[in-house]
Amino acid sequence: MAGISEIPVWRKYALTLGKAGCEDLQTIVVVGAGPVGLTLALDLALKGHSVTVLNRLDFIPAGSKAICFARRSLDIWNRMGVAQSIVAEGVQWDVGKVFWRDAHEPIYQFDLRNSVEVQMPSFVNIPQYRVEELLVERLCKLPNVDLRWGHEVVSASTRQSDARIEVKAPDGTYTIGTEWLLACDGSRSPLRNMLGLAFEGRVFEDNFLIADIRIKQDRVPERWFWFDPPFNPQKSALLHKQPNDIWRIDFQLGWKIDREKWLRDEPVESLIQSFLGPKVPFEKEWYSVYTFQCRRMQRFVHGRIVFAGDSAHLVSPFGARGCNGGIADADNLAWKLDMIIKRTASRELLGSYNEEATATADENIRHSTRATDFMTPKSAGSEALRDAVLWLARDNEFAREFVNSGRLSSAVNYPYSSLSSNDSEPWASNAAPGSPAPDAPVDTGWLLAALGNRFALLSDGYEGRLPPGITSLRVDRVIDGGQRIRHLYDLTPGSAYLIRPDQYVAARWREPCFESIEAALMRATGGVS
Amino acid sequence: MADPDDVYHLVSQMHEGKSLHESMELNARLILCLINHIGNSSIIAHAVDVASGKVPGRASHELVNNVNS
Repeated sequence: MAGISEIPVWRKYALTLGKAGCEDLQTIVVVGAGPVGLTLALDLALKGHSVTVLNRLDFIPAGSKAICFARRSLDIWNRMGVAQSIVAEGVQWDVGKVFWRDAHEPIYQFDLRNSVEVQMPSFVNIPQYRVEELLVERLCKLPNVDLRWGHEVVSASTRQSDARIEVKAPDGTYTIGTEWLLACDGSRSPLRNMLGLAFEGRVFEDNFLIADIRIKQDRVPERWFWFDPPFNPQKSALLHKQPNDIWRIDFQLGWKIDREKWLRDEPVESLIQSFLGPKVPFEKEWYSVYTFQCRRMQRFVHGRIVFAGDSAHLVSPFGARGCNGGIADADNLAWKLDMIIKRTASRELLGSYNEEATATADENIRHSTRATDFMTPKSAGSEALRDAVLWLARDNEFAREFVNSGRLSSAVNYPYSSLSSNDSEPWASNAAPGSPAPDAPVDTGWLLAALGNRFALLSDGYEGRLPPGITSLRVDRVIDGGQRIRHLYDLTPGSAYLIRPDQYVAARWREPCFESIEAALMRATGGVS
Repeated sequence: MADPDDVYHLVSQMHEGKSLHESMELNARLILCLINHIGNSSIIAHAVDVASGKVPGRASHELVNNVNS
């Protein structure tokens, strides 16, 4: 692990003092103030819990990390009141173009714009450190959040009723006993190592160079990807726009490289110059060389310690599935933990976090592995197949669907979730149980915002009784937008959807009744029915 | 197939005068075109198994309905 002094600083915070020697008793402790830990802390704090966040560093690191945030993550942050500032500051984009060799016209392009109207953009590019800073600002406004800077967990154990950790603070050590310890401590996860848990998967034999540079150019904010371009022969490159005239170029370098060489500025800048063209001025923001792995823990829940984000799973960066996958974990975990702590659900519900978050990780790993294999063929035969796809794609529609420059992150479906009740009638809507509820404009704003972060019954005129803990949202009472929602959800008079606090569909009925709704709620909260 | 020799000849002719690398490229393109014409992933999976020597091949008229059996 790099020494702390080598990590670039984006924003420094005051060290948190005065905890040394204490014996702390907590309900929720989050380890790691990255985007996943901060999102999880915020979600739980907004549900009324006292949350302590421990961060080894006393600053937000600068440097090149995640930059592409997908609509699903923005929808999640919107529920917590932080999406507006992220969207306002970030660069929105919908279009991706793929180029091959020296052709100036793309051989393939995609447009992520939705055919139906939704609130959040498809993607927003903004550096991870700004997202972290905005999340910290939001958290600091809450009285029930205790953010501790410069606090490192040095040992951990889990027992039947709590987890215990020893923490090294700037002014001495102390211990914490906590009902729940949420390990969001990143890809090298010290907690995972302390517990001796395996992190299995595949290492990809390739090196990539990230160059974040500042250029004054009126280029459209699109995702551009090159296979075998003249400026990086036999390799790939990816371009993304960030705010403040910063552009990220991701150059594939290959496996057997002189690593030392690429840590110096001159070779990096000569590659950038051949990409930009001679005499195009640019300024260095940050350069780094990285390799990547696709790995995951076998289980994310270990007694009272729950893993989320990079500590639990790692993917290649193509498809923006790393950070967005971690935000999905936080979203999935927060409402379950909330109900368990408030005793409105049993601890069994946590099993479904393990089930759904590992399913999400597997899907992300599968996509990112396939994208990586397409970019870096592992045999002469697969290279010929890849080149054949690119050759045919220019003039043949059918070949374009094989072009894989990264399948971009979107909300994962859980078709086999144990929390879902199966359909017993046919539906002409793909908002099936285990799928995210689609957004739509309504007279008060947006449907997802109206559903909120609690169990909701979205119905077209359900007049019956509701079990406690479910709020009712009636399409027939929405003045504008009702017709659109009816169409999107295939709602007929009297029919209804039960939607989870994370806005996934749990069940749907043509003719709901109190008993069927109650049974579906029971199932969706980890009870058997 | 009514004209096996013609079909064989056609595909074989494609490689006339080509280097090993060029032939590999041509074959790969041809495979993708055929995948598109077949348009059925279980037939393609079966063909991959036959080509890899994992299962015996079947006559073409048996394939469409029986490939999963």
